[in-house]
Amino acid sequence: MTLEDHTAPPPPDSDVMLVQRTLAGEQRAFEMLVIKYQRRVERLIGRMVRDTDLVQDIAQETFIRAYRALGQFRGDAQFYTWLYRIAVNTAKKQLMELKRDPLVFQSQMKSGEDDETSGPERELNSGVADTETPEAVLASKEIAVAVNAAMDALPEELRMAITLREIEGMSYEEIASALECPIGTVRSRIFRAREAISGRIKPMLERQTGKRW
Amino acid sequence: MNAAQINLNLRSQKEIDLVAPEQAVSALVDGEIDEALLDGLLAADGGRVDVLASWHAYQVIGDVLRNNRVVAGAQAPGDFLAGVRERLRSESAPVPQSARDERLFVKTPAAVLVREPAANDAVFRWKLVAGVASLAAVMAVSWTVLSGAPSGAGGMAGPQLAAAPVPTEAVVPVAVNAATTLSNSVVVNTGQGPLIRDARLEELLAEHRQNGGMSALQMPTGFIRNATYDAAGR
Repeated sequence: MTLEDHTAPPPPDSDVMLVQRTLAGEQRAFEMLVIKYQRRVERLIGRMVRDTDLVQDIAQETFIRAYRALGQFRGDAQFYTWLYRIAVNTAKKQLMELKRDPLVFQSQMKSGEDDETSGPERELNSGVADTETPEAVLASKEIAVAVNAAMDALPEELRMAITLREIEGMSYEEIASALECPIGTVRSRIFRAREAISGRIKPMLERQTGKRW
Repeated sequence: MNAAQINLNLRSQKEIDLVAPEQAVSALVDGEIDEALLDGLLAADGGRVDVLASWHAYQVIGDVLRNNRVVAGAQAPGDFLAGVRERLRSESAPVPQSARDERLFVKTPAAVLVREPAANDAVFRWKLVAGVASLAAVMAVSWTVLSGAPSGAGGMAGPQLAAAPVPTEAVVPVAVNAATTLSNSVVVNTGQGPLIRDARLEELLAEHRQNGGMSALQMPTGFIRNATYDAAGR
């Protein structure tokens, strides 16, 4: 077995690459950033604003402002850190314009400031989750069951690869080292595992299109 | 091997590699995409819903595997993206703040970093002028050193004094020597040879002799003491 690319340099920051492509005129690259960070931005704003319609508007406004200011992103901080500041400022401005309760706003802002370094575990407790409908909760459970069943059905090599990635949080390079295979194989195995699982849940997700959940 | 595994194995590696955009999405979700995959992803048909659906599915899979539940989102990604896309239509493309900022994004290996050519690099006249100026400077310094240096060891006394360490020998003032004194100067013998000083300064220094670190006129001040009276013999 060849381990030729175990020592390959880490790939460049994908966010920086997408910013570069956007600045070069490829708007689709910015759409990738929108897709990637939509949920995080919504959860962040959802902790400051209880109105879900307003969350959506502010999140959209955040991305539009980010797009306008993208030329000022220097790449010396994480893209989300930069986006986070824009989201907080946008939410703050919107709430001030709407003259929302400043006390509630400030307390939520305080908790929101900690979000910059928080992980998905903390984001689970965000305000948006509280607005889930019983339908959405049921759909969520069904999807979770389907994902776990698909995981059990995966071949060992695929299950191991996606487990190391999603649960252990290992990089492709670390997984390649652990499984003693090239990074390209790791990338392929993770993709194949995801494709196999998503084949089961995509119909469920499509039923949710247009619905909040 | 169960039926699900058989179905999975039916899709060969080669077949999956042909579906480049989805594989690129998978790598992008993990932040592990490279330039080639990103090229393939961006070059894919912009109207494809599959990419967006795949992304959403991969995110949901990650949520379930990590938290055993789907993390809520305010809106389905397709609707949200459609809204953003609609608003972006009226926006002009962003541009880097400056060419300098743009350079920050370029991850250039250290070994490749080279000094940029000067603005006047192509003008030969400047190189000629610089060369002549350098030559003239060297000649001027040489002329000064050679013409000003008398024969014998005394010729380098000045530079030696300047380079000498702090004298350890006490400086002993002598009485005003009428033969060597100018109108208001005195000659002081120091460890490094005779020194001509202003008579009033010498008188002032002698009067302000310090006892126990305290000046006769001032409160104890270490730096004043050093400035006015740094010789042990005073």
